[in-house]
Amino acid sequence: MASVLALPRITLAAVGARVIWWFGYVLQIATLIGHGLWRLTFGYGQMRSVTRGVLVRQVLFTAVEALPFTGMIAAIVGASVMVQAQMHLSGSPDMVGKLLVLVVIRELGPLVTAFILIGRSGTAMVVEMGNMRVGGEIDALDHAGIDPFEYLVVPRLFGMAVSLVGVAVFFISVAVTTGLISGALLVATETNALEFIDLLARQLSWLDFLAFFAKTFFPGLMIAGIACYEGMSAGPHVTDVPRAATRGTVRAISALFIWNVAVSAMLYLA
Amino acid sequence: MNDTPPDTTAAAAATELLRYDHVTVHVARLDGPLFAPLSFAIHPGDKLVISAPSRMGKSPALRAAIGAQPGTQGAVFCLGERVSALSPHALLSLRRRVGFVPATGGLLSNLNLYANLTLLLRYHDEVPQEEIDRRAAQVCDELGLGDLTGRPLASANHQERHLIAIARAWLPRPPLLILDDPDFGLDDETASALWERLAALRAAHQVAMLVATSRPRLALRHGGRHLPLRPSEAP
Repeated sequence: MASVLALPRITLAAVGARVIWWFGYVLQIATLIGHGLWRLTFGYGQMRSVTRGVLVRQVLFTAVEALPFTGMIAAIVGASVMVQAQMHLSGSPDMVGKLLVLVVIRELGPLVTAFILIGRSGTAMVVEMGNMRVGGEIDALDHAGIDPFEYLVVPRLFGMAVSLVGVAVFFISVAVTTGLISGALLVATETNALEFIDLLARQLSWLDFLAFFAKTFFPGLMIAGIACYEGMSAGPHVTDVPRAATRGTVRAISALFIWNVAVSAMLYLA
Repeated sequence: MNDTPPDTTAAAAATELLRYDHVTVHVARLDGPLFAPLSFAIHPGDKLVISAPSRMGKSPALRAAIGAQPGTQGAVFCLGERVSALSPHALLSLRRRVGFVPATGGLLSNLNLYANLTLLLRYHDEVPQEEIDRRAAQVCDELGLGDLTGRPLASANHQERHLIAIARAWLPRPPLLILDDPDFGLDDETASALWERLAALRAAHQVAMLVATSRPRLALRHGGRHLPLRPSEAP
């Protein structure tokens, strides 16, 4: 009898321990992001020119250098969505506009862009920070009186958040443009470009802009926060860095999905 | 030397840059101190060489000077401030005024050599670029480094990296340099050349140096006091 009762108790204890661990992890990331935001907002005036240089380099790497690849993916997504829309909703330009707003602007744009930045920059960030930790560079900064949080974490948080907003806007622009072009090529439609843009604009509400910001700026902070945390808490050996990179990527993707679902749910309830 | 009480006269104390009073470091894995308590004082122009074999606690002994070593026991006074009483913010401020060179050098892998060299000056003082260039050229000349402009980190050999790490710490002109194993991994000839340059730097600027090394013979060739670390007695 005792052994029959022991199994559920052990399972419950294991699940409970895991939940408590995750709660602690989320709290640590939230604290890191909160502290970073505080430094950004109230401390931005005091941001040193060296730190601003790190921020500029981060935006250059995360946003500007990612544009060609993002553009290619956006073109494919835009064309695919438009082909599907024309195939199944032919003759209904209103429905096509609605679908583009629903699929590309509200969901796919922020989500796919965040995926691209996780794979391209988030992983690189974990590896860079992990190698810096293994090489004693972070300790060296601290021993030289340079606050590693201010010098390394704050510009990466802000750089990633701003980059995600910018790259998502670029993604949506390319996807919509490609959708428009491929629609015109595939189907002889009477709707011209201006009418199509007007159609899209009529489908958008202020809630879409709010949701777009919530789905880009905050995931940007989360991706960078998780990357910095995992990199800086990597073990002391070189072999710990790839493990940290994998962990960071998986956790960033999980956080992204959970956040997106939560924002979408709130959007539809509003 | 370990048991020598530090000079406590008022005049000497006024010029003290660093003072250890029965300082040791406790580590959990040993369940006791790493080395026997250290007591010494360093004044401007002094050079103190702490020597010990590997893994006896040289690096922790040096890190205690800037409050970067957990488990430090005893009293450390650095630039007139009791290190254990400082807040994290005040500790960072203290570290800005001390030139600490870790055993690894600690050069940042995502910066080129020149950006590494001038990092502290740009970060802490935000001095104009012309002044940074002038001072960087002067320090490079003093330490025998060539023109570092535009050179990637990977182009520097082991000795150059040591020298650039020292130059980086020395560029803001701190009154005290703390050098952790600066000749680590260098052959005797290269290490001798390094110590020669450091001796010239000390003679020219009266900069005080606290050095940890496992080769005290080379380090003491150009003067300085010797303080061998002694193993701690069983707890």
